[in-house]
Amino acid sequence: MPHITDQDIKIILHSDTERAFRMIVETYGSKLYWHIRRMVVLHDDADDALQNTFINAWRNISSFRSDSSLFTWLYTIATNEALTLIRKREREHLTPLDDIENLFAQSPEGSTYFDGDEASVKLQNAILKLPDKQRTVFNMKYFDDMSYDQMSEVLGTSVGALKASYHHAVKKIEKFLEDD
Amino acid sequence: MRLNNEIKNKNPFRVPDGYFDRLTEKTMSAIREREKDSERNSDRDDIAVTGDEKAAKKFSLRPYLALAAAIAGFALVTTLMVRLVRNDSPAAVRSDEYSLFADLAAEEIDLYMIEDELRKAEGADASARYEEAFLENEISTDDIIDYLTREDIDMNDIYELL
Repeated sequence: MPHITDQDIKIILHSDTERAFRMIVETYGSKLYWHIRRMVVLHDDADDALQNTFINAWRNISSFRSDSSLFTWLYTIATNEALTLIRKREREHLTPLDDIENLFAQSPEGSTYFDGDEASVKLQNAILKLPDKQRTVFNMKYFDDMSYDQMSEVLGTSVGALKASYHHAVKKIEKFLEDD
Repeated sequence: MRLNNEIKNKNPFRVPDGYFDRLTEKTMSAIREREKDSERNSDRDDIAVTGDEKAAKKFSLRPYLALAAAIAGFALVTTLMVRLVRNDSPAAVRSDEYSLFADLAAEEIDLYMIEDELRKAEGADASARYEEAFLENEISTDDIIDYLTREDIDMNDIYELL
């Protein structure tokens, strides 16, 4: 399958919305899934948040400005969906969900879709202990290799604040990994 | 253990077999399903609105009545308060103020003023000591970074300052 660009999708969007939207899901589905999954950890939650992301994108596709980046637009929706789900999960559970074992214990899915060694468990626990915003910034920079400018567009925060937030998150994670 | 490329490139998360192959179809049917649901809901809302239009009109008057009653109650309480305050003659208040000093002999006034000045000085001293302790011991570098980050100060400037 030839490489599809944002420009191709935007052109098709004018004439055949459904076809263009299929192309969006095919192009960005897996990237968005992994972005959400790293934030919410559980597969079922990631799947729900991803479906909601695309449903919201579909509903608002007519208001999408053709000079904007599809990637940034979809990442913004996906990040909001992931954060909404995390907050909902925190409200519904009495025990803190900052430990991966707790998270698995409280979900029907358990650890079925997790295959990490001790180091991965430690890293996930360190990430789960970060405040929501720092966790988002850390994942976007560390795992998704996003530039600060892109992150700034997605999160609506200044580049300086994002740099400080990332630096702070790395320090906390390293301290947790050393202490634990 | 430190953050490095080895730990970064390890993905401990798995997905069900064929998850990404089915993603597009699954997403498109979820969208269609959601659209059908919202159409059904809007139809149901339309029927409900037509059937209960009269009841809805009656019901919609209730908040206005409640608002009117609240405004009337507030006006009544305000009027009573104003009357009460007016009855409290300013002269009476002033005489209270004067009587505080009238009861004190000249030396007592001096003593009172000295004690008052001392209390103020002690208060200022304590507050300065508290501020010093607070600044030296209780605010961590993390707190300062958090604060400056919230104020949108550039990270490079923050680390130059600290």
